[in-house]
Amino acid sequence: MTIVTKDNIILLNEKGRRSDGRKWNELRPISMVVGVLERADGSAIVETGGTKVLAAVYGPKEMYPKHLAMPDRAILRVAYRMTSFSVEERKKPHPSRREIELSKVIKEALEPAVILEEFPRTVIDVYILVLQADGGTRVASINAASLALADAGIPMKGLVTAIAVGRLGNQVIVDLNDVEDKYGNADMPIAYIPSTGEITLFQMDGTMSPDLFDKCLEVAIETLNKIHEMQKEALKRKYLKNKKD
Amino acid sequence: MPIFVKNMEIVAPGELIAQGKNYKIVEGAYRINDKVYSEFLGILYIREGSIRVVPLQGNFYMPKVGDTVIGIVIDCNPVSWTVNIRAPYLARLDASDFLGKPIDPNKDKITKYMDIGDVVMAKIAVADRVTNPQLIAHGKGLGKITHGKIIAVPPKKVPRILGKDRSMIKMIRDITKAEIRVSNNGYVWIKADNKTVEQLIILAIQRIIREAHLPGLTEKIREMLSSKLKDVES
Repeated sequence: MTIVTKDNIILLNEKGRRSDGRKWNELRPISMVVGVLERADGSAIVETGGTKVLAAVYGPKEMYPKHLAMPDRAILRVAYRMTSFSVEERKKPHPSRREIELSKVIKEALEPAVILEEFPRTVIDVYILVLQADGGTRVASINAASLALADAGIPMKGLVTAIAVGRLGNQVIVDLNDVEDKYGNADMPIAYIPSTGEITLFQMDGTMSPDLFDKCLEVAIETLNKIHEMQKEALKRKYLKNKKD
Repeated sequence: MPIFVKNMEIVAPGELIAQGKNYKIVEGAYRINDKVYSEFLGILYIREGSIRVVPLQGNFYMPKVGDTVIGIVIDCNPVSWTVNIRAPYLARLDASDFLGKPIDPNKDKITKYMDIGDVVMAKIAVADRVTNPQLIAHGKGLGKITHGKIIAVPPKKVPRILGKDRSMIKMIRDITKAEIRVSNNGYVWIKADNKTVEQLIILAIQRIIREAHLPGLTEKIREMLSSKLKDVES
């Protein structure tokens, strides 16, 4: 089955290949590097195909303004921002409604993984900067932020891993790019903590039958476990490289 | 009761370390039912059924009662100083806990003893989850630091700089004949005979930080210090 957009972009051809030539369950090339910023307590850069995200973590540190501090735990403060040059048409640099919403969504996806109770009355700042956007920025941001938190030495129940799944017609697809995100029939970003089995982010845009939904979730968890292995490897690589030297 | 990771291997947060109820968690791990997972990106130490994960990173210090810290005075009021101890909380040092006697703010000025920017070696007297830590700087080896050099290291690397049973720091002291004190909040105070030895100690400490996760480090540092000291002497 071939699926073509109004602008004549072939989303899925008769051979089952997607707009960028990938199979339905194929991921874009992923690169993860930890400890890229000298000044930050923890940092990571994650590239998923054309999407590039930089995350930096500072803290735990004293909370200002003080009335926002929690007496029994730390506060996780997440700022997700897109650079003006990250998209085709220049993005105005002020924080948009979407960016403020995504900051909240990402914060809530990371919070269950971080053991915040160990640092009462403090704040942990997570800054996420999208350098280039080609679909799946929120999931790449979660992957980068969770690596940066681990790199900062903050205790965590596990790494948070995220991926977007969706559908083109009746075909489930994994790791949506920008075109699939815009013109596809459904898009479902999921964040998951593999060690505890908790799903910390679950959103869906579009429609899906219950059967297709079940398949999407199954494929997503399978892919998330693969990405989780990549994240662990990226964290250890920083030190293993040193060991080989 | 299997163990899934070898001793002294690097583990990531959430990595399954062991399964079974007989393992005792010393630090850096948590348990869900009978499974033990790591909390940090760190090195795993398993000794006689006890599990410890020592984090590889972390630029913050969490105050613990009895720890020795080096702090910088950032504020004064008539009866106490506010001290930055590299923790997410500012510490308070009362004048009576520094001088060993109460101070009369009407007759005596606190800045006469210590002013903003001064460095003090102190012990944590009180630390809890509700209030800011309280220091005590009256006693042997404590008080205002007036000479020597201080370098900052990541607080999480302090145990490695000290070594097992303080073997590393003892070795550096013996070879260089310098006075060195390592505070739990990640400051190292050095007083050496000359600048070259001082630089050499700093180099050695920087190498310990860089290679903290590698085995046999004490011997490597001993070799490095001995050979470089010979060069300096010759």
